[in-house]
Amino acid sequence: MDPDDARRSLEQATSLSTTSTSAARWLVPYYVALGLGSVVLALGVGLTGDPVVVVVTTTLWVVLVVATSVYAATRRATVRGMAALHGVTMGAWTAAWCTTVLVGSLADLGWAWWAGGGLAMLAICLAAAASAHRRARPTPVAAGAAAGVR
Amino acid sequence: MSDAADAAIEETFHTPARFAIMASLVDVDRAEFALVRDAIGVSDSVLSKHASHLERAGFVEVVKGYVGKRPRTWFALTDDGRTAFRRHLAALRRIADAAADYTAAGRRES
Repeated sequence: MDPDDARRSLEQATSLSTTSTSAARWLVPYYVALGLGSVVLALGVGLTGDPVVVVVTTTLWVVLVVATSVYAATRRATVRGMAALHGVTMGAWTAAWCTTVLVGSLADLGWAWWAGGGLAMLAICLAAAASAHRRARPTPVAAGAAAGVR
Repeated sequence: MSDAADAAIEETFHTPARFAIMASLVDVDRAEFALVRDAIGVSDSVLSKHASHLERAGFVEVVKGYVGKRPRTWFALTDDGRTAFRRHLAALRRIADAAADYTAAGRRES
């Protein structure tokens, strides 16, 4: 193969890979939205104890989950390892949520407990967003780095 | 071309459309038909034909499903496909680098 053809092919591969990975970057704002929603959910459920506030907050959370699920289902590409990343993230989020609600309901630990639980869920989602951001990048092989197989 | 680079070149990827499909998929889990079609600039039929060829070769997996009531087709690389394409890219890189080294050495001698 002609070296110029090889160079052109590598440039084309990088360009196409960039297009696809850009389309898969939606997972970053998705996790950020879930994380911020988690903080609102924890504070809404735990801070006042008012049933109306709990119902309103929970309803808003359900709307957020439905909206982000529809958004996710209509995206055109997904990052590598998304199933594993999402499984781990949702597992950790569920553990944090259950711990926050169970302990917060059984013991009167005040607003700091609920805020801490919300921040823990936010941290989990932000870690997932950072991981998604790293995965949504083209491989350096085509760009000229080491020629190994990732 | 070096023997190593020669051995790593995969004939299946010589066709520009197949190379472009593989490049579109190599860094994502899966991508939708329309995204790949628009990115590589071919018609539906051309994309279908080359994707089927790559599927038969064991490099691409084609998944059909629905989003709501709308039918969707997704493409994903198999493990073998990803490995073969990365080897192909690495071989291309060696060819390009070898030519650059040769040109630089020629300049130093003259």
